[in-house]
Amino acid sequence: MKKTIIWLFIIGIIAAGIVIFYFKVIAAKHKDPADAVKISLTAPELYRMFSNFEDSANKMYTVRDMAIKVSGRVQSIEQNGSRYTIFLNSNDMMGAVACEMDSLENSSVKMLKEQDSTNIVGFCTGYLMDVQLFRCKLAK
Amino acid sequence: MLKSFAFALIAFTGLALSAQQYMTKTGTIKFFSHTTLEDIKAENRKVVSALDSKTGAMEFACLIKGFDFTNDAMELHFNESYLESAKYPKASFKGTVTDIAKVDFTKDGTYTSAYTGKLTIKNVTKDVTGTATFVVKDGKVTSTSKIKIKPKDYNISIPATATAKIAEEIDVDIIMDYTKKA
Repeated sequence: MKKTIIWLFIIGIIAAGIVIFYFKVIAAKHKDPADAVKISLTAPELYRMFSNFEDSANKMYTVRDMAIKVSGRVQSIEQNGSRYTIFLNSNDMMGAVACEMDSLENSSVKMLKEQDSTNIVGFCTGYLMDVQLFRCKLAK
Repeated sequence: MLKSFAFALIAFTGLALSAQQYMTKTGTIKFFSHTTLEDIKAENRKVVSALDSKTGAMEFACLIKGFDFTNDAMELHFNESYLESAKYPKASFKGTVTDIAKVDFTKDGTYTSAYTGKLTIKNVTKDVTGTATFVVKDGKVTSTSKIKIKPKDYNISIPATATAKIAEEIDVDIIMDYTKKA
């Protein structure tokens, strides 16, 4: 009886390990940006940080699993395959804040027009002419 | 370094207002690694690129953290262990389409041209040559090209525990959706 309990315990531990390994490694999912927002700022503020203090901005905003909420006016919207990228005006002719939207947001993105004010949550990946964000969602 | 690339690209674009300049901020780079144990794929859909249709000068750059993996754990290893994206945040290519005259940018059609240039990943620069297909349609130009790269050529070290899961040669697809600069 005691042996059986020990074996059941060991099998339980192994099964739990397999389940944890599966969900944490094999089928690991990305965080929802809406649940991971730590910083909110405007598109011009974010762009200014990267254009003036790129190294510091990278350390501050391109942190893994940390989403940021950006507010601004729509400068343009481009489609690439099944996804849209919303370019938010940075008040700087050199670049914008480019937010690549999650494809689940497509129907909402289609409702937006240039100059509309909007809020977007997403993960910042850095600065390359524009400040780039991906896996973005529209926010309130 | 990113800023210098941005200015270089703008200068490159601005210099040739009299020539024919094409640009994109939504180019795509996909890579695929196949082994019997595991397939790994990711794509970056925010590649910035410029092409001069007169001289054939072409360059592109992308942020390493912009590669989107389906699997979050793979993305973590890619950024933190293999590409060290915090230390080397971008990859870039600078080169020339050697026979750009073969492409008639004024006429819809499909054209093939050779290119050569230098690809930089993790601060390691290597020569790359290949052929690209240009599809001209309604004033837009889509270029596609396939290359193979070896991680070890770019100082991407794979730990012994993972070598069986990552191909020695990675297939890379480069797709640029250019529009003409006004």
